[in-house]
Amino acid sequence: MNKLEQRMEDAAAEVRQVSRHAHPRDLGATRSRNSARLAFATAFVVVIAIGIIPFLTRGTDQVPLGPIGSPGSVPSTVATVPTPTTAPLPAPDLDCSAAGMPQADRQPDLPEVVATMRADIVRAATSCDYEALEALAGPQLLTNFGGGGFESFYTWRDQGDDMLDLMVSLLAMPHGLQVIEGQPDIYAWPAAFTYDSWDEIPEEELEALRELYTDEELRQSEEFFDGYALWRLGITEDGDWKFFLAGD
Amino acid sequence: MSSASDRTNDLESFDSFYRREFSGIVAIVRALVRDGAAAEDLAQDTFMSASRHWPKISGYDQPRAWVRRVAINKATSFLRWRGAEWRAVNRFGGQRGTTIPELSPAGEEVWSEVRRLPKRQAQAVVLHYVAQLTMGEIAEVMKCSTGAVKSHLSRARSTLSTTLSEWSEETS
Repeated sequence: MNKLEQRMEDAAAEVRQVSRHAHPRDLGATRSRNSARLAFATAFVVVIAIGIIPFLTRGTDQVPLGPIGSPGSVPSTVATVPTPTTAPLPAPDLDCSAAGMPQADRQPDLPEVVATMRADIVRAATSCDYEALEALAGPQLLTNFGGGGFESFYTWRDQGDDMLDLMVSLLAMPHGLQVIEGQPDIYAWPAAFTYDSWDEIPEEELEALRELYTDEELRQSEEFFDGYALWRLGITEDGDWKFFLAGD
Repeated sequence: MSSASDRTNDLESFDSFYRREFSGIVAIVRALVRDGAAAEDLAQDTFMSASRHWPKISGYDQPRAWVRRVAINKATSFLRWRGAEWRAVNRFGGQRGTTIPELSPAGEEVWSEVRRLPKRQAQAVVLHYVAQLTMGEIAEVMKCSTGAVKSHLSRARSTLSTTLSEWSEETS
């Protein structure tokens, strides 16, 4: 065993050893304790919970999408299991978070151009192909409320969290349809984004979201927005990749 | 691929699963987020999710893979969204008890360097060394191919061999 392996093994043994001191608490009490603790930070939460990410600088531009709960937002839950069925691609030489993740399975009720764009985004992301992704994005893509475009992906990559695995995970979830009068309909992932209120989000969709977010993050989204305001991706009915962003 | 212990999980209660697996999940999260209190809370958050749907999860081929995947996702999300909020909690004097002892400086340095790696590389390293999973098991947790896991680990080792050796030279 070389020095690096030995050092890693020693460090791993230590973290396992100290973690044995952690004892499972009563899970019912955990929720109350977390809520009480986080109440101290309530004044910061509105800003921080959604807007803390450095690359999500809030600007004055109006995003051409209705807010969560907008009258024109019409949920259309389609797929039921957020688990792609296609085998992962072999990706021994690729270097991004989505490398080797499964390709998109087919979801019913998607227009062909939307299904194609979705599959192309997943294929480009799992291939770590930024050129292909940028070509798919086009100038209309929004990645933050200041009007950021595809360059955010390069920023995220440079910051060490390229977001591609999250994007692919979201695209494997059920989709919904956002309808805004006078604008092309938008197919959005996850479907949770398109419901009029938090209470309308089906439990199975919440459970899928709990695999990606902490309960507290979801609670804050519910409390402050009465809806899902975390990461989502939208493709217009014309097949244009419209947004990949979070916040409101 | 499922181990014998995994196959017995559908017969066991959530409580025994929770008690058996808890410290292992804490260890994974602790390596990824540094903060012991946060690691404990995120681990419990993970098991709260598992408890809500235990009848379904216990029927999975690998319920342990599910909780590991959810744990690293929550740790990632915590780092993405909540780091600053957690600091705000500290600023306001929130009670942040943890039963996890501090790591040694040498150990903490290793995980600090791991946390500087690209996210998926760091996850692969923690699942390999801390959770002691095989390439196939890591692929199952990370929902990717074994080739991708090997690539993440190879790149991580390459980086760590430099950064940790530089650290050793500076402190020797």
